[in-house]
Amino acid sequence: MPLTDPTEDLALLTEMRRGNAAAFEALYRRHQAPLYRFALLRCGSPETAADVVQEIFLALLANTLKFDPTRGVLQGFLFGVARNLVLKREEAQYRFVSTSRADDDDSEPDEGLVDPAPQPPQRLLAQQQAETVRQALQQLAPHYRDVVILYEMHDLSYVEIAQVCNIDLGTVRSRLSRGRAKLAELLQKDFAEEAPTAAISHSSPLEARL
Amino acid sequence: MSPTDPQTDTPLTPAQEALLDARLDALRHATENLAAPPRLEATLMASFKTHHAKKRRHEFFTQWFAPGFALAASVGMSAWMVLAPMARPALDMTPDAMSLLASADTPFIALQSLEQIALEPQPRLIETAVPRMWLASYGVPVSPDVAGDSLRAEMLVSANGQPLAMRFLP
Repeated sequence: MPLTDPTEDLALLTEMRRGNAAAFEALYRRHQAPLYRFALLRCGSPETAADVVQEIFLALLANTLKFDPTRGVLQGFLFGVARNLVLKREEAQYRFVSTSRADDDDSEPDEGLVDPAPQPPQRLLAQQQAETVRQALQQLAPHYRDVVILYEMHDLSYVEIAQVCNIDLGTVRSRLSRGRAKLAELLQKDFAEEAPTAAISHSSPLEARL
Repeated sequence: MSPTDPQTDTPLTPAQEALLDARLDALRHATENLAAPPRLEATLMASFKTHHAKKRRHEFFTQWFAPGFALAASVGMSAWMVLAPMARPALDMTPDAMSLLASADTPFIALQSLEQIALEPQPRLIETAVPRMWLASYGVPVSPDVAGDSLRAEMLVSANGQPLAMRFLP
């Protein structure tokens, strides 16, 4: 479900191309935050996320992005651009190796991206639980991370995620399922601490309240 | 919300699902107010103004000056075509041999068949001197006294140098 009205987006885009600064400002304000959040969760660096957002809007301004409204909504298109920009940066930072990991059986170029020397995680969120999940997300393989972030954080549908990531629906489904399972596994320690409470609350909400 | 692929995956237990959803919910809430730094908007708006100022200058030039330049170029080109001395076409470049022969004041003597002359694609007209004796081969009587003299003549020759027609010049 798009967070912004696609018709309004198109009207703003047309006005922006005519030189209307207010339209450009409105487009920026509508889309910058979701794009920033996506890039931030995707790459884990506020500076890189800001650079990605800046690059997207500069490209939009210079009219170098080939957005086709018949093939999808602007928001999905911009997520796709953000994803590509993050991937480009990762390709520059990471070494590319051929791997065939048991949990990475979907074929896509970004699968082989592995961090040669993992950096100590940078704390970005004040809330501890959220920060733990964010760091766990960072440990997911990039192609799982994309799908999980777009589905869980941005409420994109399978079809929209398929368009953003340029994959088919079945792959979206399997990546989301495996991404969530992997995330759950990474968060297992937290689960172990809270599972008994959660189990009680799920089995009998009344008992838990009492 | 449990997007599990039943064909390939072992589903999470309900407890795991609930906890995962709770954690993701916490992340969603913690990040919902995150946005790009405010300085970015100012930078982009400045870029927008610069970009469109350039674009407007370009459009202004295109709208008001370009037609003027085009008109001036057209006038200049026309003036040059009218006033520049026309290069006189060299006779040897005349493509049509028959019209060349027909326009001559002094008639030519055909040395080949008219059909062959007419079909010649690139005839050339060259001025030359021929021995008077040469006339005898075409049946013109030549006095032995002047048989060694030369005569000025124009000769129409084919592209490969074969004589097609000739005329004597006074």
